[in-house]
Amino acid sequence: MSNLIGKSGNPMEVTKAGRGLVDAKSEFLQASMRGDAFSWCGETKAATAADTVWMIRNDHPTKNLHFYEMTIKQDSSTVEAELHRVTAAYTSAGTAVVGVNLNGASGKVAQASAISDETGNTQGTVVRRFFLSTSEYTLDMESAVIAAPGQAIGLDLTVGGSQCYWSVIGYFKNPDEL
Amino acid sequence: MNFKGKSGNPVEVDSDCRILVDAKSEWLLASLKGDAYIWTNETAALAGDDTAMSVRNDHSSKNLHIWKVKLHGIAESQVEIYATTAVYTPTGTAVVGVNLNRTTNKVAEATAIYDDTAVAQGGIVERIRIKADTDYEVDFGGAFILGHDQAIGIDLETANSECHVSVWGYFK
Repeated sequence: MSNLIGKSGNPMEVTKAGRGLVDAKSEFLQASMRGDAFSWCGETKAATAADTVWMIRNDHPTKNLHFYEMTIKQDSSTVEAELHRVTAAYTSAGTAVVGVNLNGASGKVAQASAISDETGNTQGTVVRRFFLSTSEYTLDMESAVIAAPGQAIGLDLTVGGSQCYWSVIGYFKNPDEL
Repeated sequence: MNFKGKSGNPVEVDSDCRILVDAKSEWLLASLKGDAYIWTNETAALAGDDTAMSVRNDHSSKNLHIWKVKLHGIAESQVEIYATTAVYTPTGTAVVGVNLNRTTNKVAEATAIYDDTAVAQGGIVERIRIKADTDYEVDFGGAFILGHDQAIGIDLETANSECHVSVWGYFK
């Protein structure tokens, strides 16, 4: 019978019930520990009908950008929202939003163009369509909405409102690391 | 070939050919080591734009991972959760961190303040809205990480005659 030895030479431990001990870190947590997880927050501002209230383009040359979660609050009673992926090149236009690294011990900067009230894009493929009320809405994308280098994810609202603000959390990851 | 662990126990594999594992979350592992804490304030009033809670990592070598934040206000309000990077002198009502593992006597190396008046707002990581008299939870899953002397701050835009904030975090 052989010991299961890790890359660093440490042996794996096994309980009396035969269960191997594992350290279960989520992809999101691992990304943040590497300094690759960011948050982008839009300030309160008015939204016009058919506006792209936020769009974030992955400017990293090799890594994918995984979208983890979005929250949005706006003040119109019934609004159709469309989350879409833009693959065509476009010139960003609107209010730039600086990504905040979730790991304060990291000095990495997000290689992304995040824009509030983005007017430079043409709507791409709709990934998800949903309705918003005046309550805050959280869309859990569970890291499965992915923008490859050069691609962008954005949110369009069909109805405007006087106040709208949003937060998006995502992380970068090398696509060949499963 | 059979495999065994450090203690000599053999690894079990079930009839579906799946290895059995004991998968503990980072949060639970931290608590088992006595490194997980909750900072929660007494019910109190806040003026508009006040910092309801700040928690600064005072540990010299470990990072403070924020697991989640729970919020409650008697009035609806926009909330901004942010990280500070500038060094500041905490000012307000001190909040003692409670160790979640009651079998350890470790004390949190952190400074937590309710209604902190000295902290300056840094990069905002979440802008949300809490409903009146309704609990709200922001789940960071440990991915919001504070280095030495860095702090999480939570500001409420609207004055609140009653407010509760709990910050869950662990050192690693």
